Amino acid sequence: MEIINIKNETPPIVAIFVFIMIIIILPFCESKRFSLLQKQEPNQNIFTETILKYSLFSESIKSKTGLNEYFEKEQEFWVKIKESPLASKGKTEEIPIVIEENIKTIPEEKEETTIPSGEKEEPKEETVQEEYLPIVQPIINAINESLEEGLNNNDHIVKKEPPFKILIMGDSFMAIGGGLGDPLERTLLGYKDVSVNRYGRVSSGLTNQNYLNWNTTAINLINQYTPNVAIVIFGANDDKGIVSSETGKTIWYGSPGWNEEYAKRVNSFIDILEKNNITLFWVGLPIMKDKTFSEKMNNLNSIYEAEVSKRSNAYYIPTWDILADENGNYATYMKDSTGKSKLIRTSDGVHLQYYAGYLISDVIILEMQKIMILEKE
Amino acid sequence: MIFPTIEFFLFFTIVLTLNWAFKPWPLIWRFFLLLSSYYFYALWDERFLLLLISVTLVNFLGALVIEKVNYFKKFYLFLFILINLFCLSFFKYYDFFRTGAESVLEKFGIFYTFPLFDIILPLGLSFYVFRAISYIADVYSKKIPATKSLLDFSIYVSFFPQLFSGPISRAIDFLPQLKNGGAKKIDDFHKNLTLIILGLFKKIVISSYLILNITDDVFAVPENHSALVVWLALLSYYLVIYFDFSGYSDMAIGFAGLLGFESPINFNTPYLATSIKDFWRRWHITLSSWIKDYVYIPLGGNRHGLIVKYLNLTIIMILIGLWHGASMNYIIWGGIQGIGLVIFNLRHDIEKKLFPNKKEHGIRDIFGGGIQGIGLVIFNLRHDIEKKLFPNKKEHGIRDIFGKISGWIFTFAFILFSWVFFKARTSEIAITYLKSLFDFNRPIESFQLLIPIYIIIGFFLVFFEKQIINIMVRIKEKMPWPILGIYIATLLVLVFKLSQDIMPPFIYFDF
Repeated sequence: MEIINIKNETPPIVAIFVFIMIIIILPFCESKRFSLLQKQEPNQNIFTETILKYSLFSESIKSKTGLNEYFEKEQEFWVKIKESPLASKGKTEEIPIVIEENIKTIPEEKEETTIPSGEKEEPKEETVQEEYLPIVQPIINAINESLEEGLNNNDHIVKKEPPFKILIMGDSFMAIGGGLGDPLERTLLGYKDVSVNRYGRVSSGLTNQNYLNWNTTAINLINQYTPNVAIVIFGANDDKGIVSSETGKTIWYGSPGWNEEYAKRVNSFIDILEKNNITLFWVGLPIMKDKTFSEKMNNLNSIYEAEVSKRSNAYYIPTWDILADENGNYATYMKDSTGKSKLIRTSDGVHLQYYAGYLISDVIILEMQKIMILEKE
Repeated sequence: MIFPTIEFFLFFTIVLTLNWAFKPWPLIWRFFLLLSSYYFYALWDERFLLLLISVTLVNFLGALVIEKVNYFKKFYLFLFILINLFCLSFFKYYDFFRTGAESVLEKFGIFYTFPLFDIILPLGLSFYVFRAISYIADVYSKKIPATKSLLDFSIYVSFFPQLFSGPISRAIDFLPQLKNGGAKKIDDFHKNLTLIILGLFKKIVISSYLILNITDDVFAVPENHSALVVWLALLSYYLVIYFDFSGYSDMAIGFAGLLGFESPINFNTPYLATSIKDFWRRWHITLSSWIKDYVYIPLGGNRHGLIVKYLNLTIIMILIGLWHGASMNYIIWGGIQGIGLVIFNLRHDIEKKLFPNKKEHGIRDIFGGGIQGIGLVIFNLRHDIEKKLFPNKKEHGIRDIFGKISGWIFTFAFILFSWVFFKARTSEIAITYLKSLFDFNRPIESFQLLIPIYIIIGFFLVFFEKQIINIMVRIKEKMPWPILGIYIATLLVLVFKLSQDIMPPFIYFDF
């Protein structure tokens, strides 16, 4: 069957009219979504700005005319359609979320996962992995030293025993294409009594909760997978304005109070994991190509490190130096154990090539082995 | 800025209006087309505008030289093709060849490190370089004269609807459309509008959902998923790869059409193909016909005996694989397609020898019969039934239908499994994927119910795409245009409401 081609020779004015209708009606109906999406758009131009302005204008018209309630309900309807139910045999009930001043916290969890800990009589000796690439070894040694310093006060540490249900969460680094999520998932699967679930979403982070609220997402994922270990990475999309939990006003990145507000977000996220007795490994951001951006990420790393260090069941894993060159600068290539230069970063200067992803995965596992019994299958 | 975004619709509305407004002044109109294309490209990454302009200039001059010189024509042709290929290889294949060459040298005891570059693949490079090569090759073979207008040629290379992901149009078809101010009215207006809406639906509703919720995750680590989910991911990817790319092509054809340009068809319901050869006549047609015209035929095609023909088929399929990217998985995938085509052709050629006078080939019937019930007994039974049912028919209805169905099933299975090698990042993961398909020991895994629903909708669309387009065209035709405007806008609102907040990049942008 051929597609019908009718040489109707339509006057161009009809097409222009149709497109004008489209650009009037479409952003008006989707104003809330478009205003959020346009804010996330990394490459702002005259067109994205115009759409953003028009979407915000549409929002104000909706609220003035009292239509916003209808549109809110309508949007909920579509979200429900898209939030497909799971074809699952044992879906747990959702935990009600209490919203307090833009930061979502949870009351008592209905379901808590417990990690077998101090019940073992003899703590097992740590298994040292011999097969790590020589290139990572100096870094690993440095990490070991710093970790040992921290553990000196805690010599009697009892390692957590398997089984481990590990939940990997994060932004594009943990999504496919970011370069860390799937190598980490695959590497972890090579260990005994380990199950892994991974959830990575591009463009997400802890600043813009309207775009993707990681607190709610984490609660849902914990309900679904009941993990006892979590590995997270955030920050690459977080150098943006943040809504103050006290004043409700936006604090722009670099302004006074931003770090404190962001630390609150980090804390509320860690709270969720802590309340569920989940051991947290917070992976720090690697060095970035763009210097300004890199400085921002360095600042975020210091917040993560500081907040994580206050917790008993959370550990910060730095990755900054792993991908830097010998002078501490950004590197696109790195020599492997045989001396061959391997591409480690993608052309955006942010994300990782798989080689780097596996390198960082190995370091993460070594860190985990400090407090967990992880043995290769 | 890419097609399925509201900001593109805003950009396009302005371009559409000015495009038709400037038509009475052909020179201004052409300048405007070029500037909007360059602006569109610069919005993505202004650094590569210079590369786009350089490719244009080199090939414009190259064609003039090839046409003018009386000697060494072939030398100049190869020279300019080499320049194009060098440009393509540097950006697309440098690191792949660097690591390969270093490994080979190492085997001979030479330890050499090639220079290291921080390379970014300029978007659309493979597409516009191929457009340029086809032009100089056509000038060489005197299919077209070298154009004297740099402006026209620049528009041909950079025309924004086709810039990022094709279709790879030919100068012979495109350049005449710029003459005398081009089209005065829009042909196939309703079809073009339908293609835009359908393309959007394919990409932002079905393909994006399946990429985000199943295919990417499962193909990355298949061993972590249950057999059912691995099967769902495979069926999903079968649809994703088609919807992602054909969706883009549909939109490109639609947008170009509304500007008054006719584009070559890029997909002709490829998943209805009843043989591998048939599939490649329907899939990414502008690339396969490009490879056929500029590689297969110059290599000798099928004119130098069967062995050369099979060798050429394998070479071109590996090249098609390599075109997708500098990675072994694409080469393996191309190789598999090549072997499939060789087997198909081999069978066909043997049939021709064995049954020179037969219109319907014996082996195909046996294959058809074999899949229906496996074996000649059933084949004969079927034959007898056919004789009873169609006593006067020389060509039997059921045989044809069953032959086609079995051909489709075979082609479907072949293409389905070959996508595993295309999508999986390494051949090890591809093998793991195939194993995971049949590893029924893994615990049952939950999945979103929308996944099988979208797969069913997707297959429906695959089977009835042309009929759906026809129905949508007919509905629109009867509408007075004020209603048409509201109707189209409403359809788009629905498509956008069903779309995901995050849109994964087009798969073919990486190629």
